[in-house]
Amino acid sequence: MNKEHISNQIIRLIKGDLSPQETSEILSLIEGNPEVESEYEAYCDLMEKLKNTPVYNPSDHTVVKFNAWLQTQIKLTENEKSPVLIGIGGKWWKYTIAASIVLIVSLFGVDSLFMNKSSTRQFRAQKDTLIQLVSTENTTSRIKGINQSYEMQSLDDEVRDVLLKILETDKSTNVRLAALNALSNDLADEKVKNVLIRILQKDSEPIIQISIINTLVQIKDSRIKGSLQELLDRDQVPADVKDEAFLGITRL
Amino acid sequence: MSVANGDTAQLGALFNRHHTRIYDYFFRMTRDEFLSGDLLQMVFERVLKGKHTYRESYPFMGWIFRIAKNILMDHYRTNKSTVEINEQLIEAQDNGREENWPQYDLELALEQMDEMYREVLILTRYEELKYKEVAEIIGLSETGVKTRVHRAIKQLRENYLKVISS
Repeated sequence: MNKEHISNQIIRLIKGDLSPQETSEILSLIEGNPEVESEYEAYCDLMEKLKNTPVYNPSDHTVVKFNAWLQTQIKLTENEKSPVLIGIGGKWWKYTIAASIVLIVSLFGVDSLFMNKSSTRQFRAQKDTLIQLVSTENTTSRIKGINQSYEMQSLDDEVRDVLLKILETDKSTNVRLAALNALSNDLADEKVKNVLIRILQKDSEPIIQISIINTLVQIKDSRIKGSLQELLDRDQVPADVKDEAFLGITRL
Repeated sequence: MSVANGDTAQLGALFNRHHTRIYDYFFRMTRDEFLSGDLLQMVFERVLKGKHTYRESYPFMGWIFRIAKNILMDHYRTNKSTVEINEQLIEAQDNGREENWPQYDLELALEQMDEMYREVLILTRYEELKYKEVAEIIGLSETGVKTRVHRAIKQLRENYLKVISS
């Protein structure tokens, strides 16, 4: 056996690729030859080192960015699942009229008859809980408070203002991201959109800027292009944010 | 798989379970923390986009690592370069910090390997994928993977000897 062959057999031994006979041959060579033994030990040592190398973990920033993206995707999927009138043959107009009547009755008739004080009280209670929780020092409680907004059928101006203020001023990035996610259901509101654009321009936290860009791009409003272009033109904006702004423009 | 059936929220669970191994693969291949984070994000974006292409009969780890490998290849193609010497390692050497980095010699030896050899070592030794899975990911036969791992170990040993003797 030449040196090259011995070296190959040692590697195959470590990988477990040798037949019983080959294993026995190389093992007796290892035992009887100090040079081969030392070669074998060196390989074992190297493989052990390889095995014990620590696993690399992504930064918190990467994980937060993924979660922000996921929340947006979940919302988009939910919107896609909204009921759509599909294939009901030539009688579709009858169903449309029937549905319209039901809608009109429910909007102006049944609702006015049965809409009672209990739903208003429930909304008030949810709002009070939200405001109380977001005022606490505890980050988890503040996020819980923000999540309360998902229980509400719609947000009123007061709740929107509270969420916008959190997004703009809260000391915790996670709380701010939670507020942004809650507000992303209300992007049809011009005030929400305008404040998001304003925060995007003045904020110094890249993850917030990136998340706002992703949120605003979803609504495909071409007015946002100008705002994204401004970010691209400013020298002090971090490269990651500029990349996202550039991608945003291409998606609009 | 729930994600394939339209449950987007379950993608979070998939991320929690697998993101470390995929990030580790990217980091070991590129040695770039920020790039690896971006590539990781792209894997899950592609998982969501291509969820309908997943078949339960196919090993999930093989499928997701194949996506990761394709994304890495796309990155290399776009940037027309492969891995450059890790600045972190050079910096560590310059500052004499390698003494505090127990795996420094090994990392440098790995760094200097041919990419195709480094990749099979990473996939089989670090990410603990089976030869069959690696074969699917890199488009070789199982025997081809075994041979490549063999050569990879040999090259690692040669590099390691050079590093420790320099």
